[in-house]
Amino acid sequence: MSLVETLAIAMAMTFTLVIYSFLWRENRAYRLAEHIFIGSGVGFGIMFAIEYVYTNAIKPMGETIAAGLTLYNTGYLFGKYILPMFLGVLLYFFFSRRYLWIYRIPMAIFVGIGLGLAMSGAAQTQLVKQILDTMLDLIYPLIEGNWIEFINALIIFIGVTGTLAYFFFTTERGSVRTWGVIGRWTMMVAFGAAFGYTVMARVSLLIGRVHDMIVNWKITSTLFIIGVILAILSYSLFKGEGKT
Amino acid sequence: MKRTLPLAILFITGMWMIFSFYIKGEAGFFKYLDQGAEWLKDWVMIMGAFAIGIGVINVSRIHIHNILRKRPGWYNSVFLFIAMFVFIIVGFYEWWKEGTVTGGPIFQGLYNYIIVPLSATMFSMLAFYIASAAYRAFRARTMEAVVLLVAATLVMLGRVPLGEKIWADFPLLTDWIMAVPNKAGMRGILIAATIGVLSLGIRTLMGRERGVLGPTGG
Amino acid sequence: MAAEIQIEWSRRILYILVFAAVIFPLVMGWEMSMKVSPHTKGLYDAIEKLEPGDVVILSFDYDASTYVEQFPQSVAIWEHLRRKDARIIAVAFWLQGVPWIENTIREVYGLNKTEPVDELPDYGKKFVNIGWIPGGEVGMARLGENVAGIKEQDNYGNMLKDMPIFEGVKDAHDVKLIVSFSSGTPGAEELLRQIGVPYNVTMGTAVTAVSAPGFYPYYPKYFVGILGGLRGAAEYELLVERKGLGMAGMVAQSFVHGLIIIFIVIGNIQYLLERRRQEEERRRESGGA
Repeated sequence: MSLVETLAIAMAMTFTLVIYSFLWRENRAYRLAEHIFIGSGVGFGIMFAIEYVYTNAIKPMGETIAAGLTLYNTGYLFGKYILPMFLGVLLYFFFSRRYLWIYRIPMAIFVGIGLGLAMSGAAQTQLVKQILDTMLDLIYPLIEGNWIEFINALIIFIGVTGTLAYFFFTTERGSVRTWGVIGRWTMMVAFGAAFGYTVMARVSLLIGRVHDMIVNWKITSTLFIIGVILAILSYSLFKGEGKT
Repeated sequence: MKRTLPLAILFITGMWMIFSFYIKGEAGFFKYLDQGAEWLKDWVMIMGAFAIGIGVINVSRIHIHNILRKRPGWYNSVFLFIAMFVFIIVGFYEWWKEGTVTGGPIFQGLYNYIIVPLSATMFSMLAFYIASAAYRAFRARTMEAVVLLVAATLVMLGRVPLGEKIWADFPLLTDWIMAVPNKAGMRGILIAATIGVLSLGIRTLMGRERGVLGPTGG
Repeated sequence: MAAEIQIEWSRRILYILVFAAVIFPLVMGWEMSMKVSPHTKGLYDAIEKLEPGDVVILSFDYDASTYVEQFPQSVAIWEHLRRKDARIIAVAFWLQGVPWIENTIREVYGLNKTEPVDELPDYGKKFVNIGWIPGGEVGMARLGENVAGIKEQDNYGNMLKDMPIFEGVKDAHDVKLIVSFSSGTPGAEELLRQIGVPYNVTMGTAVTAVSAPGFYPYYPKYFVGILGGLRGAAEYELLVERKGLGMAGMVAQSFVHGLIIIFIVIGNIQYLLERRRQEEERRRESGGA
């Protein structure tokens, strides 16, 4: 392991332990690490954005200009690169109280396109196809004579319609209400499954961190850094400067 | 004009997208409509990259204030800027040296050894909170809570090898729960939520929801 | 005050128990056998059916907060695709997805941290790292329309139009399979409704366990397979016979799940006892009155 790598691991290790110190008590080291996290995230993102705009708009624009401008070229250049960049710059009127309305123009394009696409996609995939499948899944097994599939599809059909009845019909009486109760029970099973899976996900993250610390990053460096951190932490905790 | 122009643009671009999503034209008017839609999407991608800068300025503004006014914990904000500039400086250095920012080895290393441990550790703490919540809050108060609790326990056991050690067919039961009752509940929620999203979307396109275009007033 | 301190300490003891349940099996290096579930097998079978040279898009839409689950999934699936000799186009709609493409390539091809990825002999022929695509769902729609021209350059500054991997690839109709490593929005659902359904492309997804239950309405018709969390990764590692964090973590996962179930049981016993005590008290009071 090279020196640079050892130092890098030591740094990562320090950050990990500092964050975990929060479990004991909130402290200065944790708050510092939190700010470093935000700062590096911002620095990371801005570099991506700069590189993207340069390589996908400014550079091809320069190449087109260098190859010689024609009337067609100029129009293309304007529509393809200059206008969107100009609109991108207009977004920064967000910070002006007086000219906020200018910011709304690029934002309207942004929202309009995003919403238009999302709505069309959702209507097709998440609404029409889902409703159709709920019914078709009932019919196919009947034709094939697959009874287990049919019973499962029937349970799904009852559960889906029940859930919808629960959401859309809030009457206090009759069969619709019973149907809604079935829907509520179905949802409870789904929420239970979701909770089980959430536990699984959170535990996995912890496993990953511990695996990094004790398997990937060798025990010796670990112990050394644990010592350093404990020293710093106990200093800051017992001096009573825990809260900032 | 200040009010109606953005709303008009919102309506036109939104309808344009819906139209070109369903109708793919090979020739004539529809073909131009399609090509126009493609250009508009390219615009949004470039504008999306610009939009990141807004977040950066927002964060910077708050923390510059913190530092200038010497608010409690202002030195944390100083470190925030140090971290930010480390990434920016390294990014430009890699660009100059390697011809790429995001593919450069030092930039990658900074990500792997600073952002990854910080972010992953923060989220891994949720494991402790969820364990604590399981002990404190997960109570069988009503019959519905019992159903939820039983489903959760079965899924938790069936998804780990321990479950198989207890009963060899445990995973089959869990798979059934996931693929049948869970699917039913989730599909019901999905359909209901989509109907909600669509109606909200229509309201937005019609200009009834002002909030989406940024702070109101001004 | 005394009660507060007690709660504080019971919380800390609980945390220490959870920590111990994770550390112990990992240090001991234990492993347990497990069955492969049908929703993992579904994705495996779909990749098994690929012909050499088929185009596959891998979409890395996760960040460091869920990498523990999704990085092992990415490695296992990429390894499988590499063995099937598929053409892999890796994209990221999340900023932080890009370093994970890179980490996955380094892990699969056995590179160390400084060796350049784009100098691998297969780079540009068998796989490419396109990098970040902005715009979220809009970027996804655009990727479907224009796979080869979605960006000018790859993540390392090479021109995309010079790469042999894009030969005969125009739009999503030329793509055989899309696998989305998704942990939020934009993710697998958006990719499905912008590319999967409109272009009728086979899709699979490898998600964080938190969102896995929400994807079952699409299984098996729209997503041929769902890899849920670390367990999904472990099962896939078993199928492709390449050990990783997934299999290494399963015993620890078992231990903590067991511990949490014990917590739930103890909590509920306490609750029932408390309720019975209160009921008795109430009865005694009403009896006395």
